[in-house]
Order: sequence, then C-alpha cells, then structure tokens
Amino acid sequence: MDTAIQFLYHSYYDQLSSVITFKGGSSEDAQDIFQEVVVNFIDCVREGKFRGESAIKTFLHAMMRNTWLNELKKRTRSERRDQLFEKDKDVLDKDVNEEMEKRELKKQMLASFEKLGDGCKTILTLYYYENLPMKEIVSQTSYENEQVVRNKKHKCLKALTAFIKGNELFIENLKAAI
Amino acid sequence: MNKDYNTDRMLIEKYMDKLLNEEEKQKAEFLLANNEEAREMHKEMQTAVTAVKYAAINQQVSAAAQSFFNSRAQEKTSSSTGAAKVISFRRVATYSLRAAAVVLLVIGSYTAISYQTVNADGLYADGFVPYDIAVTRNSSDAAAVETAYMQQNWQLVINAANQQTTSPKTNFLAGVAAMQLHQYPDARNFFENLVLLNKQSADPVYVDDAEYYLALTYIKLGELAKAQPMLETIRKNPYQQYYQAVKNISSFKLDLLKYKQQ
Repeated sequence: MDTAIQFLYHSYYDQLSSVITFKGGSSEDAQDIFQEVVVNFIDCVREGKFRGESAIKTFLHAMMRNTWLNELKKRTRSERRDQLFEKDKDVLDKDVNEEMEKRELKKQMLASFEKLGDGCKTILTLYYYENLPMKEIVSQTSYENEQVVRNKKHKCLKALTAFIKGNELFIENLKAAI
Repeated sequence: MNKDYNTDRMLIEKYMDKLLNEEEKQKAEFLLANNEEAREMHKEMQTAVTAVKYAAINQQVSAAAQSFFNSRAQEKTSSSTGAAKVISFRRVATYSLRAAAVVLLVIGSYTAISYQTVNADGLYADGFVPYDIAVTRNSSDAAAVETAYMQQNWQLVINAANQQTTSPKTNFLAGVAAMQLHQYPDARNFFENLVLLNKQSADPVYVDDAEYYLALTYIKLGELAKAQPMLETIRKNPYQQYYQAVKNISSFKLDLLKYKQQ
C-alpha cells in the first residue's frame, strides 16, 4: 500500500497541486486536498468504485477540482468560487460526484474515530482493516488473551458507534448522503 | 429490545463479523427483519467499521505524504548547496541503472530458468492437442479407418494406412495415431507423405493439420530447424486453423532449445 501511495505522490502531486494553486489555494491547501483525494481514491479502489473507465490522472484531477470547489464552498467564498469556476462547469464524473457528497460524512467519521483511545484504535484497525484473527492481534498487542481482546474490541466498537451516533452533524450528513 | 439489548447487540456484532453458525445467523436475520431498533444498530455498526477503515487509509496516506514532503525538503536543501545538479544527475543515473539492473536480472533469471528447464518434450506437450475426427460418409475402407480412429485403436489405423498409402486422410489419421503411440518417426513419415500427396493433388486436404502436426513431430524428434519455419508460417496466418494453438508454443523457448542443441 505504501508503495502505491508513494507512486501516486511521485507521479501526480506536482501536476495536480497546480489545480489548487492556480485557483487561489496555498501550497498547504494543495497538500491537504491532495492527501484527502488520495485517501478517497484508495477508498474508491478498495470498494470497487473506481472502475478504471477513466485514467487515474483524470480521475484524480476531477477529484482535486471538486474537492477544492467543495472546500471553497465550505469557506463561504461563494463569490470567489463562482468567479474561479465559471469557465469550468463541465459535466462532472458521476463517481466523483458521489464521493464529493460524502466528503463531510467522512470527515465526521475521522473525527469520531480520533476520539477513541489508542488501544481501541489499534484493536479496531487490526481487526477490521488488517483483517487479523484474534490470535494474531493478541501477539501484536499487550493484551493477555483472545477473550480479553474480544471484549475490548466489543467495547471499542460500542464506543465508536456512540461517538458517531452522538454527533448530530454526522447524522444530518448521513441522512443527506443516503 | 431494552431487556435483551446487550445480547442482541452482541448477536448483531457477531453477525456483522461473520462469526455465527447457521442457527445463530438465522436468529440474527430474523431479528434484523423484524426489529427496527436492531436494524438501526446494525447500520451504526457498519458505519463504525467504515470509519475504522477510512481512518486507517488516512493514517497510511498521511505517513506517506509526510515522507514524500520530507524527502522533497531534503532535496531542496541539497540543491541550495550548489551540488544539486550533480546529485540530481547521480540520483537519476543511479535509479536508472538500478532499474535497468532489476530488469536485466529478471530477464536473466527467466532466461536462465527457462534454459535449464526447456526441452523438446515440454514444447511438444505445450502444443499437442488430440485431433477430433469429424464423422463423414466415405468409402468403406476409409470409414473403417475412421471407426478405428474414433475407437482409439491406433495400431489398426496405422496398419490401414500402411495398406492405403495414397489416401491423404488415412495418412493424416495414421500420423496422429502414431503420435498417440509415441512412434514419432512413423508419424513424421505419414505427415511428410501427406504433404507430398497434397503437392501432387489438385484438391489438397488436411493442409493446415498436416503443417501443424508435422511441426510438432519435428519438435519432438528434435528437428527444430524444420519445425521453426513451419510454426512461423502458422503464426503469421490468422486464417490457419492452428493459429491460436501455435501461440502455446513459445518462440523464445524454441530459440532457447535450438541454442541448447548447438
């Protein structure tokens, strides 16, 4: 995975960061937006939503442009936004549009996850992202046995769902996105 | 669901994690089908798992981004010392040489392994496809040969061909029968005889078949200099019946085998 991410950075960052800097963003904005776009792109690939109908560069370019547009919208610089993108109102990639709708939702997901303690983050990541069996998780953590990890994982998932549920903004976005 | 809230929650979590046996799975599915609160809980758990995965990807990308921008910053620092162009060129040259070395190593390894393992038997096996005979109305002698071929009575087919040396079909079937019996010199004779008969005929038959099976026989007998041009002819002709089949015989391995024979 690291190699793939490095490849995306080495191959496309310089070309695509100009999408942001030419449209009034700073180099820090470009870094943040590109990172967000790479995360979303990988998520799309993992979920099978990137079907390879367009080239990676084209897909990333559209995501960059729309994420930045979305960001500008969030910053309530609508006047400037309209001015900057007036000439670019072409039909957006359907896949990209779908992803953009869920942008805020994902941010809220991250915020909820960040509220967890390190132990919970580790266990949930090893179990649900790395797909490791309990036995392996025990060997990679300081927990005594599989039952302890199982109980901990149950509590952590419960805590995360509570954080997510408690986030009103998240619920609003969820409803809007579904 | 208040009374059994924790039990249900655990059941749904295990259902999501695919840890239930068939009976428990049916129980969970019944609960989800009939209880709105359970469905909501299931949805929340799935969203939580999505959040975990998304956060993990974000973490990885963040680390990779930091590494990327750090190396960029280092390059900038180096360039400010005035040695940038030299370093940059050296770096590019080093990467290029490394890439070339890796490619050469891969090609070299493949060649070395292929050289060790390639043999006539393997190439022959790559290309050999048993010939399926089509049932035709024919003279009684030819019909007898066809019947013997369909019954895989190879020796009978060969015996018949030895008695009817002027029949192209019998020669062809006998050639394949000889291949089946691993009598490759005999197979070569039958196919060469067929090629000769076709040259003399105004209405040649089994032309494509003879060309392919004779080339295969030559491979098996190690007569690669004869096999190679025949295979190349087939490779260049998309209308040749064995155009697809010939792709199973690697030109590279054939060259390697020729080189090995020298």
